Amino acid sequence: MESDDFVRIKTGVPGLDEMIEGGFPFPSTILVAGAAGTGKTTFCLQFLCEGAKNGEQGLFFTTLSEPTQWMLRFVSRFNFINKDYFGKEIKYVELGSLLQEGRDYKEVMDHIEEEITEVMPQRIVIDPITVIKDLIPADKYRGFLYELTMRLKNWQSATILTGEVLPNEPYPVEVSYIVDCVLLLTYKEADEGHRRKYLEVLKMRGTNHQSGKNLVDVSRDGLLVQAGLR
Amino acid sequence: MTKKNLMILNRIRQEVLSDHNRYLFVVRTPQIARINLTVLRILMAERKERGIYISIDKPDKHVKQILERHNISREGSYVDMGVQTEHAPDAISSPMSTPNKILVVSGIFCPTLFLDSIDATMASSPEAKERIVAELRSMNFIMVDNISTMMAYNSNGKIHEFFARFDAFLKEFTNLKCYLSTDRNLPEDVYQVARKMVDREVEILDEWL
Repeated sequence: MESDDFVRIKTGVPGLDEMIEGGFPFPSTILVAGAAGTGKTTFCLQFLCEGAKNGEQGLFFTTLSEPTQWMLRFVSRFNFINKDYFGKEIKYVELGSLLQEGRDYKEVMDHIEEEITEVMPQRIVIDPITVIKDLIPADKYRGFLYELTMRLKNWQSATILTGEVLPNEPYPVEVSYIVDCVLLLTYKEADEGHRRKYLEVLKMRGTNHQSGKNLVDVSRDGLLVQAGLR
Repeated sequence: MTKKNLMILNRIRQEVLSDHNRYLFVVRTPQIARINLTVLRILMAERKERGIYISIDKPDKHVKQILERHNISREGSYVDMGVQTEHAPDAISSPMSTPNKILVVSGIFCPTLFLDSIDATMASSPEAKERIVAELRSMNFIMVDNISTMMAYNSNGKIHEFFARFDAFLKEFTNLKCYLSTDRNLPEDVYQVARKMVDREVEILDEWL
């Protein structure tokens, strides 16, 4: 299959599309992994806002118990955020309370599907997916991830799952096996003692992507990838 | 349903679906699923019509989940054509005797295999032919989801062949209204063939969505 046959959607992160032949394949599931503070949520918001600009519906599922207002308070500082999108083009769904109530993971999946049925989104974010691991028996986690990603992709959307990177792992390995794309956000201490952020495309099915760590700037405009700058 | 999706539903119901028999929806790829589901909702849940839904690369069990989630159909026959290239399976055989059912045919080569299967069933015996003709005449619509995705798995030549055979099929079964969808980036020659086949082309503009 030629790459021209692939539909791609813009990521919303300047500099990234050029690294991945124009954008994420559509539909697809994408893991954006990184330690705390590396920019995963910002990445997701840029992704959803890009879709909202083009009339696409977005769903942002958070597994943290954070009301919309609090989330918006911090992210509203970014220039790319149009607060009017929230509640309309972008629906924010808080799953944290379901998880805290000790609901079964199947109920959580059903709830996700109910929201998808109602909104019919083209872009979906689940941030972070790795929290759900604690709810599920270890031998069932991969099966759950597989079923979730199949349902998400079957809906015909592009879905970002964010994954927290723990100290003893390079990225959430179980999730990386079942998604189509893996992007890794990392920190590295620079000579001056500052930390610089980097983005690396580890996996992207059907795509001749640039490899290696690429410098990421973070500003009021969000993340910007300096593709080729190491 | 969100307010926006309701607006799209109303607009398609009032402005789009009319007395034409063959429709081509032209819509940006990320929105194709949404539009097709909306049309199916109108046809099946509202108008209580029965029909055939051809899905190119959605596995049949997942199509079933989506239709049920959207209260479009809890009853249907689901046929997975898979990737068989040697012969069409003898799969179009279960009669749809209850109302408001849908026959879902899925598989990446399924458009031509579906037609092959119909031909094979008709050729197998007079009784089988009579049964399948009666079945097809009792249905109201056929939807192909979608032409752009078909391009990913079939050559241009195969697509042209499909359209020629599909056109003949629709001329034989004029009771079936046809709903095709595609994105805007279809190769010109394929687009022209699709355009000639239909009597109403609807471009779903971004401002609708």
